[in-house]
Amino acid sequence: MDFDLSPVQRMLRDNARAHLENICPPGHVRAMETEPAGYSRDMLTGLGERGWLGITAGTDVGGIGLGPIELSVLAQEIGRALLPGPVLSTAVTGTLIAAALPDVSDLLRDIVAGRVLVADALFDSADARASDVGTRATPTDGGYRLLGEKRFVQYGRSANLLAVLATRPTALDTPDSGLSVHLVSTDAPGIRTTELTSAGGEPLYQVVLDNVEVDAGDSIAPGPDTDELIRRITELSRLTTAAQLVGMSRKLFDMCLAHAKARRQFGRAIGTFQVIQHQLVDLYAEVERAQVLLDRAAWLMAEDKDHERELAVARSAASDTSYLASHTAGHIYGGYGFMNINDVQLYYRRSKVLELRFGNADACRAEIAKLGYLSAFELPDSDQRTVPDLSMFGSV
Amino acid sequence: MDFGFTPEQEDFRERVSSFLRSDLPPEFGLGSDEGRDDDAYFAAARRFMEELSAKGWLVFGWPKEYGGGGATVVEQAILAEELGYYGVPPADTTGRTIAGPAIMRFGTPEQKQRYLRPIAKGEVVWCQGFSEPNAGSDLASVRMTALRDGAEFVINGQKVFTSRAAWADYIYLLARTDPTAPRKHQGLSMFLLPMDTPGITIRPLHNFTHTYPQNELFFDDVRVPEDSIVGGEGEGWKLATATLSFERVNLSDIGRARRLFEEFLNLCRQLGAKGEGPLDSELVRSRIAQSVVEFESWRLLCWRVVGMQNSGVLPTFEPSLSNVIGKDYRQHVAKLVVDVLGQYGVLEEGSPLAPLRGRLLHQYLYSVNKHGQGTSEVQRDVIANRGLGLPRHRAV
Repeated sequence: MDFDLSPVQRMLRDNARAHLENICPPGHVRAMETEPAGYSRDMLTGLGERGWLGITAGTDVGGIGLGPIELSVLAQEIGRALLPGPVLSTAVTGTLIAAALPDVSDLLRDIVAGRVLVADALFDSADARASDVGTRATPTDGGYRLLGEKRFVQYGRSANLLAVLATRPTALDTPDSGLSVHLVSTDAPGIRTTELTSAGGEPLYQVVLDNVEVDAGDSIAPGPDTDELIRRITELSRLTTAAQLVGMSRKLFDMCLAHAKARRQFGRAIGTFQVIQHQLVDLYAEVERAQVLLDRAAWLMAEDKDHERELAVARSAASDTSYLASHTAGHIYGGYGFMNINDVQLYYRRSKVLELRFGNADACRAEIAKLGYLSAFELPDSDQRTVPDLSMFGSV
Repeated sequence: MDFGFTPEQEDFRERVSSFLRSDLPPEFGLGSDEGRDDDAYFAAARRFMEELSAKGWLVFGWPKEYGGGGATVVEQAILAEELGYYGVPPADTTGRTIAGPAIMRFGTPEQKQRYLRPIAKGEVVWCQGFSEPNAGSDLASVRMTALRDGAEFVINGQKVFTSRAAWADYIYLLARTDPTAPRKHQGLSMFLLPMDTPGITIRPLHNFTHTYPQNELFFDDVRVPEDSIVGGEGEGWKLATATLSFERVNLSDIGRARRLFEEFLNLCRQLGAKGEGPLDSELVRSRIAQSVVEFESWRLLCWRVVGMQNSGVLPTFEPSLSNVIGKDYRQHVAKLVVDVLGQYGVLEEGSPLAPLRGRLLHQYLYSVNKHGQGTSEVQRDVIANRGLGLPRHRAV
C-alpha cells in the first residue's frame, strides 16, 4: 500500500523535467509550429542518446529495459513540456514492431538510437479501432503491396518510417483478425501525403498508400502473435496518451496556481478570492484523480495483472481532466489566456487534439460499461442477504 | 509503487466479511448511510458494538493498553471498508473516533482510566456538542458559556444538530470559559460530561431521510466539576481542530457506496433478464461508466491517505480532498439510480413495489447532505489554504 513513485522513478521524472525545461521551453514548441518538419531532428537524436526512445526496449539493443510505470512517467513529462516530434510513437510503436520483425537487430538499434524515427499510421482513422482498418495488403513475391488510406498521421512526412496496419485482400476463416503490420518508408514510391491543418499545430497528414511495395522483411504477417503485438502497441499507446494528458493537466494547474498568486485586482491577489480558490481546488482534485487512476493502470501493467478495464478508466479520466484543465486555465488567465503570447493556448489546443486520439472519453466509457467489466461490481455469491428483489415485476 | 494488498491483508478482509455475513443481525439495512430513526434499531446497533469489541475490532487501531487491537492503519481501513459494505450501522462513532482519541492524546491519567475502557468495550455511546444555532461552519463563534464557580463550571447555552444525543451516555462539548478573551478562537474549552447531568434538555430534530435524529440541546445551569475539562482550560480550539481532522477519511463510506452501486447494478441485471433493461441503454451505460470512474478515483484517493499514514506521514489537506470527491460522487450516483428506476426509485421503504426496500431512495434523499463533517466549501477552503498555499480569505 504505497501509491508513490520509487526513488529511482522520482529521479527519472525530475531529470526528465529538468532536461525538457532546458531543451524544450515553450519558445521551442512555438518555433516548431512553423517548421515544416514540426520538430528538431537533432533534439530527438539527442533524446535517443539519453535512452528515451529505448526506455522499454531491451538492453541488448541499446535500450533501458524499463516498464510501463517508467514509460508513463516519461510520457507525463513529454506532455508537460509539449515536446514536439514523433517521440512516443518511435519509443512504443517503433520499438515493438521492430523487435517483432523477422530480422530484428539493426533496425531496432537504429530506432532506439534515434537515427530512425517512426510515425504512427496504424489505424485508418484516429479512433484506434482495429475493425476499421480497410487498408489492404496483397501478398507479392518478396512481400506485400499496400493499398489504402491513413488519416490524421502526425509527422507523416518528416519521420523516416510509417507504422501501418493492413488487412488481407479476402477474408480467410482464421482465428486471427487478418491484420498485418508493416514499416514503410515515408518516401516510398506510391505514398502520397496531403497536409491537414489541425488546431494542435503538429504537422498532420492524410497518407494515401497507392500500391506501395513493402518487403517481407519489413512486415509481420497476420496471426495470433501479430494480434497480440497490435494489442500491446495499442494499450501502451493509450497509456502514454493518458500520461501525456495528465502531464499537460498538471502543468496547466501549476500555471493557474502561480497566476492566481501573482495576478492582482482590487488591490489583492486574485487567489485570495474564494471563487478562484474553489476553481483551483476543483481542478486540483480532478488532476489528482486522473493521476491516481493512471498510476494504478501503469502499476497493474507492470505487475502483469488484468488491466484493460482500469486502463479505460484511466484514459477516460485523463481526457475529461485535460478538458477541465485547459478551460479552467483559459478562464483564470482571463484575456491573457486568449492571446497567442500566453502559453495557455498551446496546451488548450494540443490537449484537445491528443484527447481525441486512441479512443476518446466516450469510447472509453463505452468500454468500461461492457458487461464483462461491470462484473468487477458483483455482489458476493455467498451473501445470503442478497435476496433477489423482483417486486417491481408484478403487483402486490 | 504498490496498489495491492498482502496475502495477510486479503485473509484479514475475508475473515471480517465472513464474520459479518454470518453474524450481522438481519434488521440492519445493507448500506444505509446514517442508521435509522428508530430506538429499537439503535439498541441493536449498540448490542452489535459489544460483539465487535469481543473480536477486538471495535477500537481496532487503539493501543492495547486502552483496550484496542493495536492494528495497523491498513488493517483498520480494511475493517472499516467491510463494516460499511455490510451495513454495520454507526453507533458510538464519536467515542471511537473523536472523544476517545482526544482523551488519549490530551487527557489526564484519571480521564484515560475512567473513559477509555468503556468505549473500547462498546458499553457507552458518546455524542459531540459542537454546532450551535449561530456557529456552524464558523465553529469558533460558539456562545455556550461554562463559567467557573469555585471547583465547578456552570454551563449555559444551546447546541444543535447533535446526532444520537438522546441515546448517548456522554457528550464531548465545546464551550466558552472566558467570554472576555480578545479573539473568538481563544477562551474555549472542551468538556467531558454525562448526558444525565441535571439541567440538560434534549429535543429531537427528525429529518426527511429517516436517519438518526439530530437534536437540540438546552443547558440550564448545568454544573460540572473542574476535572471535566480535557486538554486544559482555554485549549478548546486546539482540541476541536485536532478532532475534526480525525474525522474526515472514513473507509466505511467507501464500503457502503460500493455496496449500493453493486445492489443497483444487480437490480439492473434482474430488470434486463425479462426483456429490455437499463443496461441495454447506451446512455445509461455511459452514466454508469462515469460513476465507475468517479467511484474508483474516490476510493483510491482514500486509500492513498491510508498509505500516507501507513508510512508515517501525517495527512493535512488530503482527507478534505477525499471528502469533497466522495460527497460529489454520492450525489451523482444517487441521481443516476433514481433517474434509471423512475417512479419505482422514489418509493419509500415499506411501500409495495419499492425496489431494495427503499434503500436506493434513501441514498438519494441523503445525498443532499454536503454539509456533514464540514461543508464542501469549508473543505475546499482547507485544501486551498493547506494544500495549495493560497491565503485565507476569511476574516478571523
